[in-house]
Formats: sequence, C-alpha cells, structure tokens
Amino acid sequence: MFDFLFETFEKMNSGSTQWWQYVIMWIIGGVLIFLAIKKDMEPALLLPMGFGAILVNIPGANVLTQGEEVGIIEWLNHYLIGASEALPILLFIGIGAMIDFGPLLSNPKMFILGGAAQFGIFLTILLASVLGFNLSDAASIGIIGAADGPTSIVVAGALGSNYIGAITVVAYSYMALVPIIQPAVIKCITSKKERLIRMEYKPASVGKVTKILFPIVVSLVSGLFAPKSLALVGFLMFGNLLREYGVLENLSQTAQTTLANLITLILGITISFFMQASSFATLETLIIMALGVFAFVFDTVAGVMVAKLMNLFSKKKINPMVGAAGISAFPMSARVIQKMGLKEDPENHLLMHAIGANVSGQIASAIVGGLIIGIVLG
Amino acid sequence: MNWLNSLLFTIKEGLKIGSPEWKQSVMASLEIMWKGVLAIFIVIAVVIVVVILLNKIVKFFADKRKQADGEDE
Repeated sequence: MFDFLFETFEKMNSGSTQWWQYVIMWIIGGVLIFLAIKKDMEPALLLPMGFGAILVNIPGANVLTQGEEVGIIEWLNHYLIGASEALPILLFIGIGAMIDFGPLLSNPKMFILGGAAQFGIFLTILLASVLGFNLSDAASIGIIGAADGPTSIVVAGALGSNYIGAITVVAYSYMALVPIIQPAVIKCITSKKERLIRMEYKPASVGKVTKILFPIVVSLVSGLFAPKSLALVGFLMFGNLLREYGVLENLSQTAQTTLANLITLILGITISFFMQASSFATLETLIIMALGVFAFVFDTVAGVMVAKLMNLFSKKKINPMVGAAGISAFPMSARVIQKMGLKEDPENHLLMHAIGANVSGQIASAIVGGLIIGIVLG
Repeated sequence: MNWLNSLLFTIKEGLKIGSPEWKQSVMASLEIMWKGVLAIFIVIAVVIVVVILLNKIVKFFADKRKQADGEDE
C-alpha cells in the first residue's frame, strides 16, 4: 500500500508540475464545489467544474489521455469545444429561448446601454497587453468583460488562448459576484439624486410579428457587419425564434430547460480539462482574476456614464443605474438594479427598463465577441 | 527611494515595457479598441433603426387590417 503511495507522490513530482500545484488545484476544486452548493453560485456550472478540476489533477488518472488510452474529459474537450466550440454555442439556443425581448423592443434606445457596457472589454484588452500578454491572450482575457460564459469560451477557444481554463472560471465566478461588484461601483459614480430618478414603464405594444422578425433581422444585421459573431448571435436568435414562434412550445421549453441544463452540466466537466495544474496554478491566473474584476468594473462604469450622457439629450431621464444593467449577466444584473432602485425609493420600479438594457447586453456581448475574433484573426 | 527605482526597473524589465514586441501588442490592442467600439455602435445604430422601422411597418399593416375589418362590418 505504501509503495503505491510513494509511486503516486513520485508521479506528482515528475514533469514540470510540482506536487503543491496539484494540491492547490484540489483546493480550488473544493472551493468551487463549496461556492456551488453552500452559496448557490452558478451551481449548474461550478459544481461540475470543481469536481472536474479534482479529477484532472490526479496524476495518471485516465480522465486524461494516458499513452494510447484516450481520456474521457480530453475526448469531450476535443469534440465538444475544440471542434467549433460546439457546446457553448449550442447553449446559446437555450439562452435565447429564455429571453423576452419585449421590454427592449418597446424601448430600443436601451440598445445603446447594452453596447456601452461592453467598453470594459476593450479597456481590459489594452491593460492585458500592457501587462505583457500576447494579443490572443489579451483579447481572450478582455472578453471576460462580456460577463457571458459561452462567449468567453468561444472567443478564448477560437483565439487559441493558453488561459481558457482561468478565463472560464473567472467569467462564470464573477457573473455570480455581480450583486457584490456592481452596487459598490454604482454608488461611487452616481449621486443620490441620480439614483432617485424615476422611470415610468409604459410598454409600447410590441406585436407578435415584430417579435418573430426581430431575431431574423438581428441575425442578418450582425452577420453582415460582424460575420464572425454569427455563430453566437445566430444561435441565440434561433433560440429566441423558437420561443416567439409560439407553435413550437415543446421545443422552446426543451431548449430552455432540458437542453440548457444538459449542456451546462457537460460543459462544466469538459472545461475542467483546462484546469490542469500546469496551466492553471500559475501567477498568470491571479493576474487574470484581477483583470476580470477590472473588466466588470469598467463595464459598469461605461454603462452608467453613457446613461448620464444620454440624459443630456433626453427629456425623459434615464436612471443611470439602468446603464449598469447593460452588462450581459442576465438576469442577475437587472435584478441588482431593481433592488438598488427600490432601496433608494420603494416606489421606483426599474426592473423592466433594466431587463431591456440587460438583454441588449446579451446581444451586444455576442457581437463584440465575434468582432474581436474577426479583428484578431484578421 | 532606491528600492522604488529597483522595483520599477524590475517591473519594466519583466514586462519588457518599451520593447518592440510590447509596443506592437499595445498598438494592436488600441486598434482593437477603436475598431471594436466603432463597429459595435454602428451595429447598434443599425439595429435600433431597423427595430423602429419594423415597429412602424407592422403597426401600419395592423392598422390597415383593422380599418379593412371595420369597413367590412
């Protein structure tokens, strides 16, 4: 029995990875599982990721390829992410089926806030370059600011980033931290008077035909202007079309529930392939975590500032907090803004406006992801 | 202040600040920034215009149909 333990300890010290890096990854896996179960933070993803992180960091384990024996997690990664980033793109069908674009269609200027709240991505790309990351890695790190897990995986995968594991863990973890990050930032850059701005919600009636044509039109426009975004935007819009068409109710429900849950489960365990100690337990991962916070903070700042700018030209004032909901963390960010609005004024319901900004951020982040892939790959 | 100079020097050397590769990477990031921001706002502007037009066109045909139904009655 002790020989077997010595052998395992020798394996942990062979190659470029040290035994303490494996131990760090077991702890990180445990932390992700704890956050998923005890704190209810993105449990559908953090639980399989945490468990997978432990599996892939046991030396000699056959979840990774050992000699000629192909490991299951490596196989899943090769065919479900390595090949066209299939899993995260398919997940977008489920996400699209969950989204109601009605609040956005009744107030299209919320699109501007969705676009503005992606600015943190570009600032982060610049900062990551200044810190010495190459362009592909810097762009992949910047996309954490999209606050969208599938988009982060697709971009990092398409650009061949060396840090896809860290980027994915950070993107999904920080999405769950939106209720902590955003309120703090918003309070620093808005006055009490601004936070008290009331926004009346009078939804302009949006016809069924508009809701059906919208996903088709957005796909066309995105495809023409940013062709590399079409995989993400197209599948998001396809999911939405399933929802709005009305006849395919069973398919819509399947997409929103069974499909989304199944893919999320498999995606989590597959992503753990990138959480091997040699590539994850490094100083760069810590830097990526810091850059992730930077991205989220500046997304929030940009959204709020553009909302304030719009108020200079608009008679009907926008509560600047709604600008922060342009981040793509749907529907968490919208709920955060609603809660903040009610705290300032119990009769100020900002939810529908925030949802309009939030869903536009979902579209904008997918478009930005495609734009970045197109610009970096040339 | 010697320790500060030493720290700054170490950071500068470690990040290769000022090297041709670093400059190229930063310039490329700036290019991504201006192109990306411009592109996203153009796409959003087009989508907003299209959505507004779509709303108007759908409403126009819906009103016309209501009018025709009203006349039939």
